[in-house]
Amino acid sequence: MELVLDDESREMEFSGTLAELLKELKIMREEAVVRVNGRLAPETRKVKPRDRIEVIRVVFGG
Amino acid sequence: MSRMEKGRCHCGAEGAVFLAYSCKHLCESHFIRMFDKRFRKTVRMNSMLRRKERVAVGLSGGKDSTVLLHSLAELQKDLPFELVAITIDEGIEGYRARTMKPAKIACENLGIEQHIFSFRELCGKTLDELVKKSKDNIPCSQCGVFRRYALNKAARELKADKLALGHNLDDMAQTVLMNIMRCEPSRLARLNEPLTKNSKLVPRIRPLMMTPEREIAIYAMMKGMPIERVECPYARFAFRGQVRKMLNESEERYPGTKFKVVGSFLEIEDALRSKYAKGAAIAECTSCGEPSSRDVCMFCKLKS
Repeated sequence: MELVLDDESREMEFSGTLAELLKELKIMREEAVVRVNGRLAPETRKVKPRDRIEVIRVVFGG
Repeated sequence: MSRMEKGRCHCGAEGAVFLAYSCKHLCESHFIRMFDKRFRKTVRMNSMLRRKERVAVGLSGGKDSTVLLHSLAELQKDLPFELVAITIDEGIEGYRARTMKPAKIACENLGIEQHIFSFRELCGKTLDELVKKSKDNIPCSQCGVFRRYALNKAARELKADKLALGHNLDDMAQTVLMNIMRCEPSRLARLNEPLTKNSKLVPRIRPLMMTPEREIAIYAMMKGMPIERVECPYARFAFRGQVRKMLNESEERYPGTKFKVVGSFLEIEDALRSKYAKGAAIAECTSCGEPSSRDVCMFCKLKS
């Protein structure tokens, strides 16, 4: 799968849910929103090998 | 297999959001519906707005205040009231200039008058200059005093009946915990409303106070709002940042924690207000004439 985090893209292998992926990335669920293949997705969704996953950090304040 | 395991909304559509505190998946359209309904319920339950009032929105251009402006503009379709936006330019290099642009765009798109006030106009210095000058003060507490002062003064000058702020559920839960951790229950008592009325203090409303911060970000994305995702460079110095982290960790382990913290505060709010109402007085600052509980207000003290 392709992971886009902090405007940087990289390929990685991962098996599990988006919640588990966030845990692996040490990002709290409360502090991020995830888009899979351009669409918002719940953290319960399982990651598929050809997914493009964007992790968007929730900016504090505003 | 249950709907939750399938990740589907109650309508059968694929879920876009999972709300851990209610164990529900919602599709985009039902999430937006739930969000709007909660916004209106918060406004109605707390009698935040009345017909024909003039409401000034504190608009920074970040996600919370931009969503607040849009939701209030939407509410205007059913409730006749006036809207005007106030943007405070604190003078933070590389930060405020980036959020000023989306604030301007939001006002232009919605046809809302925007008024910009700056710390420099108010006290002759930007926040960056004030921070350089003072080594002892944490910039966030200083900025908070100046911003509250500027927003109130601006709202009053614009003849606003209410000042609407984009504080969300996370902000509220953080403030409640911070006041408890600092042992300042009297501040907690006046969190929603001053203990005594003063004609120079424009009443504040927080229509997003029951909406989690993350859901505001999701809503802004779904609605395609132009928002600059930049964090204040001083945020890392704040005690609030530590409390935010602690609350987010608790929320992850025990979903619903933030609602429970704010809910508990609302349950004891009346008791706290009764306890601290006695002897509470708002006079006027002897230096600037603005409302203050001390002889010289914090703004004048910090400015000098």
